[in-house]
Amino acid sequence: MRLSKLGVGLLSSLVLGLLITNPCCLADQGEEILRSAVNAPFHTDFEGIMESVFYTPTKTYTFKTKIIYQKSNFVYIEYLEPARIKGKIIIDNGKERIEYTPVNNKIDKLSSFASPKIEKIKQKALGVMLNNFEISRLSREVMRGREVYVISLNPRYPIGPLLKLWIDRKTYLPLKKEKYKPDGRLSSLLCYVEAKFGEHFPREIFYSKLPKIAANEKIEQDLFYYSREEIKKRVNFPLSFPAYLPPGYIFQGGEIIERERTVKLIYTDGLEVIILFQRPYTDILMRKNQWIKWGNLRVRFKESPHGKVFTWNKDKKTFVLIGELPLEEFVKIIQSIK
Amino acid sequence: MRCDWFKKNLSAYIDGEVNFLTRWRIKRHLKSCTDCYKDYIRLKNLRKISKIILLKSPEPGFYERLQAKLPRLSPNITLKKTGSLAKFWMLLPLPGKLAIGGVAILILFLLVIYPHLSGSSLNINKFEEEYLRSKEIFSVVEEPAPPLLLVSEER
Repeated sequence: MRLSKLGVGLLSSLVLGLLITNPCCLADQGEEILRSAVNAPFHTDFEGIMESVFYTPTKTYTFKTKIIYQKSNFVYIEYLEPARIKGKIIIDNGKERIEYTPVNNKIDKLSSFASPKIEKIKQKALGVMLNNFEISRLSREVMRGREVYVISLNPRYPIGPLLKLWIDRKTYLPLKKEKYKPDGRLSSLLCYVEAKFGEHFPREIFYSKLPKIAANEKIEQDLFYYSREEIKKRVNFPLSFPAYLPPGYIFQGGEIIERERTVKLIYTDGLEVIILFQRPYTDILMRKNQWIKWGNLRVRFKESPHGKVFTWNKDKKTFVLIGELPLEEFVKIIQSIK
Repeated sequence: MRCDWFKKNLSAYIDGEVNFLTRWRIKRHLKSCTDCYKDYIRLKNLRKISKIILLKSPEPGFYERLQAKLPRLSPNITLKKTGSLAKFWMLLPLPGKLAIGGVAILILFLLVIYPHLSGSSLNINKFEEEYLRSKEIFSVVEEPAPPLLLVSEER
């Protein structure tokens, strides 16, 4: 009897062990963790200081930000470093987003990024990302005294970035993020250097940090995304679209900005975003740029901390293309624009 | 012999227009009067220079020959029009000239300066800000705004 009980026990432990270590099971767990992590910031009481490092071929940029999440749908962001952006404050209360810039002592009011509308967009983007990235749970670790899941997002296409996330096991809040370029080089590292969970503050404290100046209301104008056909009808100049898109990318929507004079076409693979701007001919001021010539087309190019920036003129229009992709992909996109 | 008489006949003497006796009397005076001799030399040099200048001038009939060689003006040439415009401008009163000048400056301002003032030239930062904003909305795992102000580096 005892022997048979022992055998059953051993067998069940073996099955459990296999289930836990099974990569498919871990992959499913990874997906579940990521799904929970997308909305976690809006349902957590948290205060932390995030250090963000961005690597470019020529320079490394480091930023420090104080981030406070409060249940529910409240975000407070204060920029601490570098000096030139110190003091900038963003408050998002789920209804509106208030941005204060001390350099020009200006307050802008925009639509909330924690609104149901944005949540819908995020869910759609999540679906796109799950198609383009293989999500796997790598391990469990302890970070600053808290247990975290380490998950990895591996691109299904060779042009995508590789992402590693450290997600808090209790709250599903991402605490660390490493992003690698397709060639394996680290492109950015974001990590909380200080983190306190369960801290709750009265919201008035945050609003009192804003100066008493009139806000520039932009709520009615932004966050309207049109389909290709809709946006064509809404502008008074002929629109061009790229015939080629990098694998995994889809058209997410179009916006009209700059007093109805600029069209912004948004493409995404769920993780990265490519934006194609176009407007009637305009002189674009861009410093530290270099010229690239492809056939008859002369394109100005620069590498910024968050991606590559291209601008050129064609058919009495000015185009700007921004994104984080290998150069060859941008060449294909630009040449296919009709 | 008096110097006055000499000066009266000096020019004719140099040109060889005096008779033998007068010439003899002048020669004699030149030998005895230094001032008159100086006047004589000065006038003689002047004559020499004027002869050179005369030699540099075109030969007789030069202008007639040149005229013959020049192409004849076609009657279709719009010389008259240009002339009339210039004539119009010359005849235009000052307030009219000022008004035309003002209009020209206004056109220049609208075409060249105004586009810059009205924001026709845009800074690339605006586009980069829009890009980061969209990235925060459309990317699943984008942190709230940390890189948003990277673009302000160039301001």
